[in-house]
Amino acid sequence: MEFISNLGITIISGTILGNIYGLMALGLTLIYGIGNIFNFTHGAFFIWGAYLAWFLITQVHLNMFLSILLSVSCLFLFGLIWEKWVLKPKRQDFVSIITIGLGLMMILDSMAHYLFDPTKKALPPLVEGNVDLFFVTRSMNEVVDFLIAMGILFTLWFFFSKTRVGMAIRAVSENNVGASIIGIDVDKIYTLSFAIGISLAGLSGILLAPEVYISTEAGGDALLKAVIIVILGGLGSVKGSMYAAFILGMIESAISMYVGMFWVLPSWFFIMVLILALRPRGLYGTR
Amino acid sequence: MAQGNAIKYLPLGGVIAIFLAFPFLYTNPYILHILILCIIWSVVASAWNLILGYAGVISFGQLAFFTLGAYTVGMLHKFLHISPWIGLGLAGIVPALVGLGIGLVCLRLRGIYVLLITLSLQEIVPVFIKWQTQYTGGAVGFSDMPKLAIGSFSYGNNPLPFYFTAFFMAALFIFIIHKIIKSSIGLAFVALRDSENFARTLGVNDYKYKVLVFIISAFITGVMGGLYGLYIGFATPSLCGWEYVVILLIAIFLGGEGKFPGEIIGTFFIIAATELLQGTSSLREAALGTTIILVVFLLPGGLISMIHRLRKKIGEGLRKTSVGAGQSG
Repeated sequence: MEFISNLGITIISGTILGNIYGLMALGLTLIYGIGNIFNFTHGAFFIWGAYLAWFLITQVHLNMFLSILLSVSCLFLFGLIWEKWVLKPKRQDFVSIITIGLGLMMILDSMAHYLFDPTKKALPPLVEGNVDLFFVTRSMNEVVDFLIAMGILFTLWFFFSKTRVGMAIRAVSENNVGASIIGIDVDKIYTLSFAIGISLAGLSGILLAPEVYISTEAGGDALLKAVIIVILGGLGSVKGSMYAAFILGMIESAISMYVGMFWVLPSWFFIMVLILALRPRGLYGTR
Repeated sequence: MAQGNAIKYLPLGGVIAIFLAFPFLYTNPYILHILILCIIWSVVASAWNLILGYAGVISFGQLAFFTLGAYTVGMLHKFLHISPWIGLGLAGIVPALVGLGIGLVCLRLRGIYVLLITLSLQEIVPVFIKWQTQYTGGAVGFSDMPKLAIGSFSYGNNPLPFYFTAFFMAALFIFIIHKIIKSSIGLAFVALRDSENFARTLGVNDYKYKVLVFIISAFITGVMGGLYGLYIGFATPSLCGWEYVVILLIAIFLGGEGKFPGEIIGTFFIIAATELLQGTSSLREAALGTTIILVVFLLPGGLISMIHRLRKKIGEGLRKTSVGAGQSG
């Protein structure tokens, strides 16, 4: 019976983790797929989302869902401004874009250290209470996290496949010259998708924050995890990232259940090296 | 002909003479300390510029090799009692082997994969160090570094012998990097950079060369990491943080990406600046981040190209004013 309940915990928390990691990696994939640029600041925005939500909830005492909405909109706005004013002139220069991202990451990490002092912060759970799922008891919070992440994923799916702007983003990611010929404002799409990408990073940070403590080191781990997920899924492939996030989320929860927390990141790293050695395009990517 | 060579090598000889004479002319231990750091980091920047600016490999894991080197020297002495001199050699070989493994996997793929895997290496090395606490000392750092000694002469805490050791090792490595840039390998990279497809049709095997240069770069960086560990006396996982990556990148961009001796001058500039400004602000990292963004925007091509542009502008300005003066007069 204990075996079944352990297995149940592994599968359920793996699914929840996979869901949130999926959101995080989706942001990175989106930014890479549109502009062919790597977003160094993904981990920094991950913790900034969590810090902003923590500030609004515990210091300003705002309503929880309102503060989540507010902090994600802050990141969205910042993304719009940053892409439009800073990244735009350097878009074609790969090394410059990476370097600017690295610089911004340093600034954001340092500001977080300075403004919120280095002690680890705990975001209170979004909802109290527990819930019985099959053989295991999980906190209500995890279930709500799962539902929010699912809701966002469904919204994104709807946005990308049914709305004109979403379809325009997909068109640009497939062929930006062709997209500009048929009258899509490619500049705006670049800016918009960058802002969506970092908002997703921040949102996943908020959703994960009640499970892990918020600290500046968490940003580095988040960046590493997002990179590994994106590589396993195949660069630029949304479907691949989602599958990879679920696979790696399962692996993470199984390893922390049966082996130990510390083994998670090293084993993810070896999985990445193996994937690159044997099948560099990942699950669904193109070379 | 011989005289022409002598004139050509005169500035280089002058620089070497200044470096050798400096500690006797100006015996301030703090300035000497900064100079040692400058020398060590300038070799690391040079090795990075070789791989980034010449080979076009976007490697962000150089500091991982550096950290591995520092820990290798210390741990080999502590657990196997290996002399730090042999340890310095092994401090190069261990990162070179890691570089070989990673290079074989990722260098045949597009640049973004190289970036992602080296960045992951950079993030994973501190995780390993904090994980294996009983060997590495964990997050606090590794403080059982051996003391260098030649025969019965121990270096102790005197910076002077370290200065000369660092200088001679740096001279050797910079000579090697210079030779690689001037060799057929360097030419092959220039050809690949200018016209990749044409170079390939001429039979340039970029994968082989890239792996080779990646290993050499990892080796040099690792040895310098070992020397840094021996000099400072301890190693911490924060060595493998983004702060030093940004400092080195600023050095490379100041000197000009792929413009060989430039990054050495850039390193002296930025390391001296960061050391002298140390402890002045809790927002040091933010200042570094702002600096690198400004450098990317304001100095494309490095300080040298800015001097060229300035000279051109001043020349144009002078011409304009002289014309204006002529007309009014």
